[in-house]
Amino acid sequence: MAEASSSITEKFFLTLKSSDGDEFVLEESIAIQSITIKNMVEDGCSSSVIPLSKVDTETLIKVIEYMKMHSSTSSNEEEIENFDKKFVSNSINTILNILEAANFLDINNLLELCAEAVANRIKNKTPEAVRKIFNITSDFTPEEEAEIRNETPWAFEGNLDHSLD
Amino acid sequence: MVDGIMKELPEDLVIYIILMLPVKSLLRFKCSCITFCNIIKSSTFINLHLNRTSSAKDELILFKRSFKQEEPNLHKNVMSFLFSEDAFSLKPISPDVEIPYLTTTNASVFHQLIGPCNGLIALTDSLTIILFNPTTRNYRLIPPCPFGIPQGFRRSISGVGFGFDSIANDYKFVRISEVYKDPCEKDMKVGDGTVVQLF
Repeated sequence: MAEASSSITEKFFLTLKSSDGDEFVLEESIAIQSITIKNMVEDGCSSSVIPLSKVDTETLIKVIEYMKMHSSTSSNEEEIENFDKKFVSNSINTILNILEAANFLDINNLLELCAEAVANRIKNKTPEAVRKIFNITSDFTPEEEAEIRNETPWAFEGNLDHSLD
Repeated sequence: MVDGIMKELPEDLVIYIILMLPVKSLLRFKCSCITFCNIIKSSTFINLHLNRTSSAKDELILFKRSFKQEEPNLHKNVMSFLFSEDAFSLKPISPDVEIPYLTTTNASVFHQLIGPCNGLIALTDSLTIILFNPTTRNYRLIPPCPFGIPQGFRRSISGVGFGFDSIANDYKFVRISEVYKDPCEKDMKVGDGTVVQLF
């Protein structure tokens, strides 16, 4: 990909290195959707490889896919919408990894997209399922819990399944 | 999938995720543990959530019915929350709520609806004011006028309004009362002073 830098319109390229040690070359204008990378570029730290120690290769590939789709002027709104729809149908583990990466890289749109995707999968879950999902135990006393159940019995109805895929 | 998939997420990301949830899910989340309950109840979270959900498509019909009670001769008021999937059928979205504060001696007291303001509405028959959140189905009685009126005077409430005071970060009610001399008094001179009350 590096030979593209010699094209007429001068493009700058950055090299991103995942936690697994794989390197990805990406156009600077695409990469700076990440505020973290943008700040690094502005501080002049971009001449060498940018190590992303918190992002593994699989996740970084997805993030780059997203940034390419969301930056290129050629992709129209409908294309982006379809891409996003498909993007959030990834497995919950993948989405959570991307969510963390988006948080670290400070890509607001991606963070929002993933958080919403997770929220959509947990919004109909019962309190019991929520506890399993978040690995928490109820710290209400039996009396408090009985009171809540009494006040809002409907809150305990819903999807009991704690699987998110 | 293993249990506790979210356990590795930092707290700020968990909060970010639950900010995306609709109110009904939040009410459910509140029942899962004290930490979630406290986060969701906090005014910081409420404000963030309020600013986020401006594009929500939650629509509902608030339906007030009066029922005559056996003893004593009172009418209780019940709120229903309905939504319609098509033009002809209405389905309840959540259970009915009876608001004892709205119990009246007349069959059909007109309760004026004020608002909405940040999703809250107020219902008033001038004397009683109820602040009502149709989404959480919580309601609160606004305290009655704390000012006494001098003997021989009467008061009529000519207007009620409410709004959000962003400086005090709270809701405020304005009640405009007119105080005038009791017409039964021999002296028919009408002294009217307008009192504006803030809560």
